[in-house]
Amino acid sequence: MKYGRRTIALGVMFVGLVGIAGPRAMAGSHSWRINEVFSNADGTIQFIELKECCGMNNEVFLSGKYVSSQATSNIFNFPGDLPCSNCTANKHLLLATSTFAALPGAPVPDYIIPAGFFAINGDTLEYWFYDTFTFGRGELPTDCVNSLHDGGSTGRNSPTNFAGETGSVDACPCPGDLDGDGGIGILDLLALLAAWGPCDGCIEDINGDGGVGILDLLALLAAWGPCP
Amino acid sequence: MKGILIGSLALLLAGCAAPTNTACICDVVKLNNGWCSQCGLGYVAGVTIESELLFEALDAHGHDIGPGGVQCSSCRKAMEIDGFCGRCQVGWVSKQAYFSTLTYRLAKGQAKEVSKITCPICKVNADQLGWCASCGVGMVGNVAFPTREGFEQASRPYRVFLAAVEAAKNCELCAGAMVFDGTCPVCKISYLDGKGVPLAP
Repeated sequence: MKYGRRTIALGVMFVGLVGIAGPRAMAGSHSWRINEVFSNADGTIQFIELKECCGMNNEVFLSGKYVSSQATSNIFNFPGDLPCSNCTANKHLLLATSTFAALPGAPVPDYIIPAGFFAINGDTLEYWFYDTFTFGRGELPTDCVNSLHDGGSTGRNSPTNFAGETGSVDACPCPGDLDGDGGIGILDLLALLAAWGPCDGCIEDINGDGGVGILDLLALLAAWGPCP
Repeated sequence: MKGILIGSLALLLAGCAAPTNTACICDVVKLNNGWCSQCGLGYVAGVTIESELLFEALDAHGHDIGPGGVQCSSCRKAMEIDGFCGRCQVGWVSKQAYFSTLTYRLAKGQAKEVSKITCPICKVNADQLGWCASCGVGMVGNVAFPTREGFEQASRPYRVFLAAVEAAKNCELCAGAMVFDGTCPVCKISYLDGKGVPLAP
């Protein structure tokens, strides 16, 4: 034999170690978590925000992964991998309806989902097998301003997209419709009076000055009646 | 050098058709939870996985943190003690992230080359699962644990994993859902500890 067995064995081992064996670099997509969920009362304006949880920088392989709703059976399949590398640590992904995208203050969604993608009266959303986000009846705010966050807390919506653009939307057609029933009436007035005083991002703060006061009351009275 | 090239070429041409080559490659891959592209098989804890989807879902190796660091405070605490962050569902071992209970627990053991195990009981255990009282070593697949606690903690997700490997022959999405306590959107089955449960809520 011209070439020694040992040398050939080295070649076999080389291919085995370099070309065939070993964990592959792909498959990075584990660490996205459903972080914030928002809907208006009829589900036409919705968003789902995912966040990279753990400082992993190459979680770009979204091809074949999906976000699903158990209640509606809707599934959003990611159309491909993220077009970058070493770019994901602590970033966000924003999936939203097209009506959300048209609202003032809305960051540009990374992906568009259909209206009514998830149910507002309780649902379980899942990001592939890697994360589950469950809420029961009445737990998801539908007051046009607040959203549900990972861990169950609620607060003013703060959608953020992959580019890092963030914002906040008011999904109600008329400010002052605090209960979302399509008009401004006695229940809205009572809600406003109940929230009287300083507040941080509360929906009764119609003029957004950090508190509920006479100006908010006047704005509500001026818009009394059915929403346009 | 030519010898190396000839050896490499011979292996590439033969692929995994030759049983001796397959065994050689798989021995290497088995130790590092890898995937053999030529055979189309993956290994975790020495267990053969036919489903590429299941193999990739497990992603059974440690993941380094990016330059931005970890923002989750629960993860940061878990990193210090090689613990598991329940909020993010991420386990930390030696500052590296593992994305399932199975891979996190396995990372705390040490993979062994089964052919080199001398104790006959441990060798049998390495085929599946078992504790060897005389050696004081538990085997979870080819992964050895020197403590009973570590062995027990890895055993539970390992059993689910074995069931998932079998389930993958019928439905890969079910197999993935079993390992991660998720839901198969095709079969409409949610899983908890490897068993089907009613969809929630």
